Amino acid sequence: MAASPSDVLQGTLDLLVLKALSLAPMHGWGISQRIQQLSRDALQIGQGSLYPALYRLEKRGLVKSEWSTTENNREAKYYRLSAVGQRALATEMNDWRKFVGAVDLVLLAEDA
Amino acid sequence: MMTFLRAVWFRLHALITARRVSGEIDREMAFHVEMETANNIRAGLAPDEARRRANVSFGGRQRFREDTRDEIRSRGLEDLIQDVRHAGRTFRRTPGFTATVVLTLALGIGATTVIFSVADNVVLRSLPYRNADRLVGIQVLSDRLKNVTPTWVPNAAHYLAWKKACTMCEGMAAVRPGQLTLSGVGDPAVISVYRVSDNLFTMLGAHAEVGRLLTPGDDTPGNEHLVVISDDLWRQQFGARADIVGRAVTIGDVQWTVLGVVAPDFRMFRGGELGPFLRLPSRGDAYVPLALNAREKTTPGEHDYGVIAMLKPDATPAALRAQLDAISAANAVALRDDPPSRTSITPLQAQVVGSAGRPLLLLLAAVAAMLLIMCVNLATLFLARSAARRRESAVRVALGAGRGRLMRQALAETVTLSLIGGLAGVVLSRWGVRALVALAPADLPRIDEVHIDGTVLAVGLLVSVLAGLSFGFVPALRFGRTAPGDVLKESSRGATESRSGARARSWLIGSQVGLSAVLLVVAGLFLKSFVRVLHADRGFSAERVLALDVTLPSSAYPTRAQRNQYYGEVMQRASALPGVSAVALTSALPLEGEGWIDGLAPESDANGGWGKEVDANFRFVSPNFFDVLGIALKKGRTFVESDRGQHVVILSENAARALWPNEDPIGKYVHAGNDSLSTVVGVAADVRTTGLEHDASLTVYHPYWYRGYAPTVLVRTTGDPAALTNSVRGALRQFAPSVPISHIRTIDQVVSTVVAQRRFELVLIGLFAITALLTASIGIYGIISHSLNRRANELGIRIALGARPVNVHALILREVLTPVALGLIGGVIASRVMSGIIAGLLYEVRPTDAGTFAAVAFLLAIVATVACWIPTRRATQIDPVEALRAG
Repeated sequence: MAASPSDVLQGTLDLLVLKALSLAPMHGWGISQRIQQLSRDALQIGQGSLYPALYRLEKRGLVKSEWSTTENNREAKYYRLSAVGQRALATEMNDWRKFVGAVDLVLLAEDA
Repeated sequence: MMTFLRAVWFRLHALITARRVSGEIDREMAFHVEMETANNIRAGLAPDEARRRANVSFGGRQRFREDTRDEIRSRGLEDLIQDVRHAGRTFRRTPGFTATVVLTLALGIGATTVIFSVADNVVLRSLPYRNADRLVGIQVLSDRLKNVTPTWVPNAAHYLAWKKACTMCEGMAAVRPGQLTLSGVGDPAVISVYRVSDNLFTMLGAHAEVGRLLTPGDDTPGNEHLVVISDDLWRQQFGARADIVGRAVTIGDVQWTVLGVVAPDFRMFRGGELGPFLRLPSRGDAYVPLALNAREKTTPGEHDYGVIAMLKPDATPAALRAQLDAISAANAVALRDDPPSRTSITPLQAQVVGSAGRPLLLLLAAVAAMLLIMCVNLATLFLARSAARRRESAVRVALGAGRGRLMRQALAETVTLSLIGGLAGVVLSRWGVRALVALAPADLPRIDEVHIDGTVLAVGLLVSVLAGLSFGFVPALRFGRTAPGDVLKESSRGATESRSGARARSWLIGSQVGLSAVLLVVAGLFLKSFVRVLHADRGFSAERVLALDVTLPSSAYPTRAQRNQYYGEVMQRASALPGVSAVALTSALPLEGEGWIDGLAPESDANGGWGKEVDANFRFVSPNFFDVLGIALKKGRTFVESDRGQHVVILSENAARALWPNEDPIGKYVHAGNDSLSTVVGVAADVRTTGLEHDASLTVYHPYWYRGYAPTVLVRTTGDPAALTNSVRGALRQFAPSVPISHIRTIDQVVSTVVAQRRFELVLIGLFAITALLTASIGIYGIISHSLNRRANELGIRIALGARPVNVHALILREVLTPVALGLIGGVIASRVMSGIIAGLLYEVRPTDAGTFAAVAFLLAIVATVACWIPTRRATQIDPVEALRAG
């Protein structure tokens, strides 16, 4: 089986999820909506692939989860960022900016 | 670390709650799709369409569920449990196969555990003394005595000089064994009484069970008659009475005051542990202060003291030796020791283990080789089975099972099996150890202390797992390497065997043959040595002789005349018993070691001057001693009654030759010890003194009445000597009830004891070698028949095309005999190396003994041929049409 594109984006997805959760605790669907909305519909994440990512993050201790009720009185699993997750988000955002900056440098240099 | 712990917790938690979590994921995903659906409806879609779109945008729910579960679950543990369960199901489906494997492993691991526990107890484990690693044994090397023994225990004078001046040791202790009669409680009994220096118990860290032990300061005039008794003696003779302390007991006709009882876990030295010449009794019954008298302190010839020392923490044996040698040299005149004797210092552990170490380590190597053969064999079995299960593995690979997973599963199978086998083996080893201890020679040091403990169990467990991994590895590798397409294609239409299969087969056959060859060669060399030892010229030929020791209490028999009268009566009374054909007396039996050693010199001139002195064994015998033991008289005559009052001796041939290399000794005079000149009246054949493997010592025989000393009575019987034990003992007790009788044995038992260690080694090595041969032949048989089954097609074609059975036989034999020959070559080279290592354990057999090597090669070739011929014969009888159709 060839490596799927989602493998390449995995790190990015984790970062997006962490960022979304840093705004407020929410459930899986909420996260997908929030990412979509924040990116002004530019990022259409595979909704199903969100769950493996969430469980992976939970295993790494970056997010915590608990079942609770929505405004409509429905049972849903809410995720929130842990203290470790907060620190991880800061580092990863930093790394990401460096990465983007580096790529920019290369691209701009070619432009000039 | 925290991250790791959290991961572990998460996995464990997930494992426990796996089912619940699985439900949670479903609920969570269902909720997501519902929310999306509701969102779509709000956007204006019809409910059905809204739900369809929601499902599409979510993607394959099943796949994400799997992925999610993969993320959280504890892969290793859950898979392992699953693998073990799978293995269990497989085993239940193939009970015959499983039983074979478990039994093989149980035997292999059981044998390894047994031998390891013996080696561990006898060789590896440290002695149960305080600071045992700092204890050393001290012996002397003496030029004068080097013909008699390489090392010699010290005399009292040296011990005292060393002890006074030594700065390298924290303490030095001496023991001198003896036998005395305990009387006044029940029947008089001969007990072993050690005279020990007063610091011995403190130095070894021994404790008292009752009262107290001898402590430094007890060995002072006035304290000579204190005694510490053993736990055994206390229980057997004194009924374990607590009021034993302070009680007066009679030992050797002297009153002693009991100081205390030594704790039962105290281990006294025994056998030759303190020096090859000093035979210590198998147990210590009583311990009294050494109390050296003036004569003992100055007599240089009494090399009768076992001496040990505790090194200071920073001292080495070599440094101690240098210091003791210097002390000896500085006091040479006072010690009457010229040239000064040199000392030999051995760590006590090494000295106690002594020569037993090497054979045991060899046995350990042998059992390891046997285990290795078994593992190779099991690898073969599993390989054959994995080949048969190639379709299974191919299908599973095709369905998406990971290769690592398949390999791990195969390994889980073998490790599970070997753990079961190992468990059975450890259970078996409990009996094995008991059997081994019963079989082992009694003088194997510490053999009676052998037991199975935690270390041994751990080793058994480790061996099981290692065995499982080793014999599972190759099949697992092949199992995991399955290429599904090839396998599924290949099995539909007959093909010949793959190249890698043929290569693996050759390796397996070759290595089994090679390992078996090494074991068989070692066993063969041992067998040949054993036969040579049994056929060594002992110098005596006697069957049906019963020997027993009598100890005459000096109180009842103070004079020589009284003792001689007793001996005369013994011979007369015992001879009168039915079934007894002759009764003789001696001071020592052949093969039971040196006895009394003293100087022997020829009279060099008519004035009674001394010629060159040699050291010889002194023996005191009755006139018919030579006749009863079948010792040939080469010249002259034996003693006669009219020799009473005369000084006469009989020399052994080698003693006569040493004194007068080219002259007839009969009628010549010798100085024997400190006595006046004696006339040589006869020359007797040389008799092995210390064992069948050592040359006979020089011996001089005196008539027993000369000193009234001949503690061993020999009874020649017409029937089974052991059957007369009671009547002889009864006859002796009847006329002299105060004389203790001990150590009753037949002459056959004496010989048997001497070869016990060799027999022990031979039996075990032989057992391993035979097991190896059997295992290897079964292995070869299994490999060949399996490979023939798989090649039924090929053979069918060959036969259909006109190949005759003989051609098929030739084909298969060539394929098998090539690895067999290569294995033999490797085995012979390895055996040559091994036999060089064990050369010191052989007797009159060279490690390169061509006969043994040839016999082993021939035997293995025959066995391999037969093992391969049987399945081939069956294969050539197949109907080609059947074979092709079946394929």
